[in-house]
Amino acid sequence: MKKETFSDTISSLLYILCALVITLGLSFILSSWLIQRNIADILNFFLASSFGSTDNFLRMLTRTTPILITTLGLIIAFNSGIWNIGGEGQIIIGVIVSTGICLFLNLPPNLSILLSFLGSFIVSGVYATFAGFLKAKWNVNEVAITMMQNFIIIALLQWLIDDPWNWGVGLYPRTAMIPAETRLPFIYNPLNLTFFVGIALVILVHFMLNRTVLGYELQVIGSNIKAAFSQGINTSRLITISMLISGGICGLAGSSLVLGEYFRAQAGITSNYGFYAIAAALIADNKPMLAPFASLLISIICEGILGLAALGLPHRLGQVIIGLIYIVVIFPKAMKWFRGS
Amino acid sequence: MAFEPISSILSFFPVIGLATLGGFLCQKSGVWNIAIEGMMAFGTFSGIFAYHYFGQSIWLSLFFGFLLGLVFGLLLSILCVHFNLDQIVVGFGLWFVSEGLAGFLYFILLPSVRVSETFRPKLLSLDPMFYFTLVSFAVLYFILKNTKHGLAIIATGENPKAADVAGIDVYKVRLFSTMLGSAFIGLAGSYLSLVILQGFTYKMVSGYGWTAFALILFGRWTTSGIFFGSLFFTFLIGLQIRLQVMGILFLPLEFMVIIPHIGVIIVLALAGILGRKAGMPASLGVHYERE
Repeated sequence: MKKETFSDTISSLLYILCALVITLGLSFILSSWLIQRNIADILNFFLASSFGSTDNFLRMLTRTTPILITTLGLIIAFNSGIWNIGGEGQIIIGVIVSTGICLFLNLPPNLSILLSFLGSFIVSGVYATFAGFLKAKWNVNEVAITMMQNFIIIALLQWLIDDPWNWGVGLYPRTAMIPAETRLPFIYNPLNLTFFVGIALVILVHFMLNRTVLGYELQVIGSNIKAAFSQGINTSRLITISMLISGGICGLAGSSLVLGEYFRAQAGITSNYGFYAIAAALIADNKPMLAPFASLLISIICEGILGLAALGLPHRLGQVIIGLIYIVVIFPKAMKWFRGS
Repeated sequence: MAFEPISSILSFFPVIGLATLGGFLCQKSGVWNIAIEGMMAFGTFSGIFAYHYFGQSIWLSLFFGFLLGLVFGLLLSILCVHFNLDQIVVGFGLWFVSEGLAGFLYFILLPSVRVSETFRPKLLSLDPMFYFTLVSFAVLYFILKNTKHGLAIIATGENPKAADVAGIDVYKVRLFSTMLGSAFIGLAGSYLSLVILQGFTYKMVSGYGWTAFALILFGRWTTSGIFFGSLFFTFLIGLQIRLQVMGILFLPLEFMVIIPHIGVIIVLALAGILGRKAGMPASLGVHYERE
């Protein structure tokens, strides 16, 4: 594996920042023309929804939490060269498991919380391993399988909140609130303790990828799976483990949504975080230490677009911008002239 | 009228068939097209857009969907073939951009458009696009099997270096295949919005693009494989819609709609486990650079 120098990292970060600014700027110019408002207005509304007040700022950080955790999960799979795009479904597994445990098992509160996180990790990990196992054993394309799994799990959640777990009150289908004792405490409403769970995971994942044998082996199969195989590394075992951990961490994002933000399961609870986290992982260049900043950026964009909705701009714009981000952030990797070599 | 149920199931064939065929053409020349879902979504929008603004003609609107598909194909091939960006990431990006853009532009430009007329003429109560899809498959089969151009496409997908030595312009072949393939995908999308659902809703493609993507893998990159695969899934989807409409729900409605997705997982896993020889183009997803 080629070690990147510090200046390489800085220059690629600078590039990504420039690319993001240009992407956002172009989107704003386009939308200001479409809805006939001036740019200053748009910029104002965009930034005010993240930085306008303490409350907005904390809400933005709250949104960062699930994106950050999912990003970390995906980074593990991406580092080992597996396209886990089932983040969306894996988050929902976490949501379902946590809601189920907290609502129906009637365990002591602390045990409920512990079991929610543990159960989400295990169930979601095993669920993701299905795709990993198929890839490891029979080389079945993981992009297709994880994507199809997403559709199935979204339908499962829809069915649960429509029928057996439906609470019956409210405009849209959702479950009852989980008992107050099983909710994680707020640091400062609405920012929840789960935020620190995310930060702790950053360090954990960084340590696992860079300081352990397993992490090293995962990075080796990510950079050249054929060479790893001929060196006697058990690649199929590693692919399976990578998907297990990756899916498990994504499942934790689901627990954090239930235990720290919504306190129930409802339709659209994931708000596309599973896909937005892919963009965040790309911005972070698959480095866990950069993941907080990347997910912060994605979160600012999400909040900003919601702020712009007040001006009559459809919030689908967020999806367009994130799609553009996917494309612009990978330019420097492709272009040799950028690094001057 | 005994033919009616079957034809109503088969009327879905152009959506799945054309999208699969388009994606297949891209992949055969060595370019992963992950953005099938998004290109179809943009096709649904552009069909309705053209129907509203360019005189209410279904034929013209379908052609417009085809044209905008070409544009997205051009974009994909510039980014992947000429700039050597990661094809999976670009595919995702394009999926998000095109699906989001479709919803965004529809909200701004078109309040609510319904297509009231039915697509004519009909033969055996199936419309022209059905036969067009059949013909397209036949033509593609013939081209890949028997012509110089087909050989050029296969060669660029398998071994671009050898193809280049043999005097084939790899970039041009990939550009052409990707554009044409994406155009077919756009056409499938506009057919879905104009003829089948007769209107636009956000995320109306609801995974059919991904079904098409999986069908290419399932069909092992052979024309006949993807043809029978898409026919089978047309039946599966049509049957599911038909049962749903008739109110025969042996599963909750939420699970009825994902029967095709479950089917995809099962057939992909089975195809892998039974170990049929993978026919994946050897240079699929590999960038070619001239020395």
